Amino acid sequence: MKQNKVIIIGGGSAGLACAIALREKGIQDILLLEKENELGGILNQCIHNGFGLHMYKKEYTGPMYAQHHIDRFMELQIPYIIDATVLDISEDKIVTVSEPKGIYSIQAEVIVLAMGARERTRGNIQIPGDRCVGVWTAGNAQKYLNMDGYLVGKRIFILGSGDIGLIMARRLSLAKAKVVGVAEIMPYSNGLTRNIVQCLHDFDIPLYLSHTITQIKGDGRVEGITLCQVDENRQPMFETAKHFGVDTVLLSVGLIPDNVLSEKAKVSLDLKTKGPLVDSELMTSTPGIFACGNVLHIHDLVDHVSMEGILVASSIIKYFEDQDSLDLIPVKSKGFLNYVLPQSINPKSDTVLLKYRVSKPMTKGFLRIICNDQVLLKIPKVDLHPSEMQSFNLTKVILDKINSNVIVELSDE
Amino acid sequence: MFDIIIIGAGIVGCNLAYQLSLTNLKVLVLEKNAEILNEVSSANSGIIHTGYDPKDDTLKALLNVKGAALTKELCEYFQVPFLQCGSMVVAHDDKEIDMLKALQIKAAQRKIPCELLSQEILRQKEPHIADSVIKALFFPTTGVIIPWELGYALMDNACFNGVTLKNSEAVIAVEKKSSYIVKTPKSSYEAKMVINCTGLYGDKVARLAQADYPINLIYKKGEYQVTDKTDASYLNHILFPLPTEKGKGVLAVKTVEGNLLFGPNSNIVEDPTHQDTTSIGLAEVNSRIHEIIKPLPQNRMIRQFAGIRPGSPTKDFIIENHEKWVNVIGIDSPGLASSPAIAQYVIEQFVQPEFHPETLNRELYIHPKPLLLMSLDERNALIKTNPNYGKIVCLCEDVSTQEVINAIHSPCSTRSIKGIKRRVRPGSGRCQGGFCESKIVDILSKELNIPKQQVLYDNDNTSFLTPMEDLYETK
Ligand SMILES: Cc1cc2nc3c(=O)[nH]c(=O)nc-3n(C[C@H](O)[C@H](O)[C@H](O)COP(=O)(O)OP(=O)(O)OC[C@H]3O[C@@H](n4cnc5c(N)ncnc54)[C@H](O)[C@@H]3O)c2cc1C
Ligand SMILES: Cc1cc2nc3c(=O)[nH]c(=O)nc-3n(C[C@H](O)[C@H](O)[C@H](O)COP(=O)(O)OP(=O)(O)OC[C@H]3O[C@@H](n4cnc5c(N)ncnc54)[C@H](O)[C@@H]3O)c2cc1C
Repeated sequence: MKQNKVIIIGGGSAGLACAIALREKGIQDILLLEKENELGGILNQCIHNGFGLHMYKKEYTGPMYAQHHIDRFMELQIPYIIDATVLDISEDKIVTVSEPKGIYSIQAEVIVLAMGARERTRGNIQIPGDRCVGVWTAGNAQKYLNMDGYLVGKRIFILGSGDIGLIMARRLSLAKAKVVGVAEIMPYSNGLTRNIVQCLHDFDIPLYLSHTITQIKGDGRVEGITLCQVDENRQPMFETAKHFGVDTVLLSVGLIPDNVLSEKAKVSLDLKTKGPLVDSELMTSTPGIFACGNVLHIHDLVDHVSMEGILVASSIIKYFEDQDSLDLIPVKSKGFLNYVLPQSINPKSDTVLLKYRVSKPMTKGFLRIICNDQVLLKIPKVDLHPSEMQSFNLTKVILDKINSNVIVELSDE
Repeated sequence: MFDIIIIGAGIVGCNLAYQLSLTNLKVLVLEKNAEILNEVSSANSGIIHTGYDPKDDTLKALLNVKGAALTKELCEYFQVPFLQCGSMVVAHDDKEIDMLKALQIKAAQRKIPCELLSQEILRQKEPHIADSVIKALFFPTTGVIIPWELGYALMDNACFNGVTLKNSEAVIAVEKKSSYIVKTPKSSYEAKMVINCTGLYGDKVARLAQADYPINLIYKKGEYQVTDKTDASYLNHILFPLPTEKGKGVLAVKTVEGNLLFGPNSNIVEDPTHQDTTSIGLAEVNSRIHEIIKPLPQNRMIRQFAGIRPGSPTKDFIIENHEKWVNVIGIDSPGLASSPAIAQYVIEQFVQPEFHPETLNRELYIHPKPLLLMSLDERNALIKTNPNYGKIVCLCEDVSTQEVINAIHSPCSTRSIKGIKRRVRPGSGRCQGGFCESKIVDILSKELNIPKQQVLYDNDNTSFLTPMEDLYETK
């Protein structure tokens, strides 16, 4: 069987950043596997700008940001294979890959999961109606438009105010399609504020908050939708029904970390993030398997994805130096938090970057780090929004005080 | 001039085409849709019922018992999957236990193996059965198939043996002379005998030949939920509530592919053309399924769909011949399980007396086995012959580029995204085509030598792409 020290699955921003950092730290034996016919991942279809503000203080487009990393990756001559789909990972880290030269297994010492995310579909959210052509996920429509040069429809309604949907509303308007409206089931938008302004307001596209599509109608092709307001339990109020004649419905109702392979490797997943449970080294429940990027949890900014890839590279170096496993300290979330990552602290970590998402918009709140019923830290926070990932660095000074279960709590007082 | 024209390529038409292709008769199949098997035969539970349910002395009772045995043989012969997982009919109280006992007697008369299970045994066999269930009648021979896999195998072989299949040709008029002239918008065809097996449109097509044909079909819609494959091991059998006048009830089916299917409910509809799901119907399925199973730990539905049953007023299949015009009408459940026997019955009763055909020895066409079911060595051997076997288009279902190409060029050909999805599964997994649909468009466009804007989603008039350059063209 072939062997590799590190196998990275996925050549998107997470996989690329991790590979580059590993090589820069002196790891020679790396193999990156990418199922598409080019590196770069989802960035290749994001031709808008707004990438790299944090890392480079520049506004790159998606492909430019990706190219930046691909150039460096090539310069370092890191081995990779494209058109190479990983079909299986076993618990003992045997990777099975299919590519045009053959299908074979490779024994890895370390595996990096960097497979990205998939989009939530019509079936996942159960929109009733006809099964006609004209319903796509926003990312799929984006791929048809930006990669292949084809428009999927002329009169479009978008369900979900996630960033991909907002960006597609603008992109489609620029491509001379009519975006009739965007509906969001929550009472607030799920996209970045800058995208609401630049993609909807600037194009006079109405945003229907607390609304959802209750039916799609069409014979062969979508002909129209029914939109209803929802009550506080997110149940449609059918007496508020409005009808729109459209030929296309795009769904931007969330991304789901793509962990089919992780499950095959028996990596434990978090029901909330839908990604692997990781410690502060971003190592999963299977020693030697690490995760970064959208496969771990959904990111709104690519900069954070790249930084996660770099963090995994450092963790791998530590892992190679010392594989003794120490007792992990569980981290739990409390209050108005959707999730906190990592789900445990590894005593090996010198600092720990806590990442979290709030469960509702809040103008102000307080983040508390609690251990043994003692509040170690209380940090005031302002303008918190579920669409924007937050982070906080636990320094050595704080970590030294942590010796049992940590609670991360967000409350409004 | 054809000997026989078959109108409609559902599972009944496919069985007929195949069985007739083993004779020296000249056969034409006319199908209105761009893809065969795109109506009732693709939206059902896929169960090969053993035949305990239909009333005595009905065609349904006769043909279901026979058809179930034939279906299993056909699946083995064509090497398409037949999952004999067995089924249980469950009871919640004493009255229902009495009904189970009555079913048990009927099954014994029809020589269908079955066994009454105690509370303890049934929970061992099926740990996630609902707490309210107290007894079950177990039918070990019930099976489940992928209806279109069997249908495509039948039609591939029919075409391979020389049957002519014309897709996208709806029969709109019929003229009777000494023979029949059957007209479609594109052409007209002549045959000595016509077999009408048009599913939901059976009564209307019958009226093309006989204006005063009296029967009107009754349409009953059934809606379904499909779970993610992760839930495959949640159930070991097909689980039924007790059958009622309305039908077999909301059941839980373990599918061949590994998903679970919940449904169908049953509601009368006026319009057979809209196989739409409704919020009320899906809610009904979501709640009634818990009469037989415990709630899943996570709600991971990947798809909903609906199918419409073409019911007959007599509640039995109607198979009749009037001056060499054969109607095969009212084929609702268990029409799938009965279909090979329906075709056999039509041939024995009406075709043989008329034509006395010769039986010919035909070679078997086997569609290439999915890579998913092969060993790494077998796959490598294929990749050596053609690297496209190594290039995966669909990760969810492990499908290679070459398998899609093979499906496009199979004897009965596939030319739409939905057809490809049925034949080789890309798009039926958890991403529902999010990752692979544009790649399938590429392959279809290349293999059929058409621009992408002409690639069909399923039926004619369902192409969906507009090239950007068309939008910016200035005149
Ligand atoms: C539409 C969209 C718009 C966005 N807009 C912005 C923005 O304006 N600004 C910003 O900063 N961020 C934005 N983001 C966020 C950010 O770009 C992404 O979160 C980031 O690029 C994700 O990187 P990743 O490497 O985790 O995943 P991906 O880029 O998805 O990479 C995963 C890679 O893994 C490969 N892969 C998956 N499974 C396998 C397998 N089995 N075998 C081999 N390879 C496999 C995939 O083909 C893919 O190339 C946007 C994201 C999206 C989806
Ligand atoms: C919800 C539901 C669940 C079911 N579950 C089961 C089950 O578990 N087990 C079982 O055994 N059975 C089941 N059935 C029944 C089974 O699906 C049907 O009996 C069977 O599929 C009918 O096949 P068919 O060939 O008669 O009809 P169809 O599959 O509808 O085929 C008819 C064909 O004729 C074509 N056609 C129509 N009009 C014209 C025209 N004018 N010109 C040319 N072509 C035309 C149509 O396009 C179609 O392709 C179920 C049915 C439903 C609706």
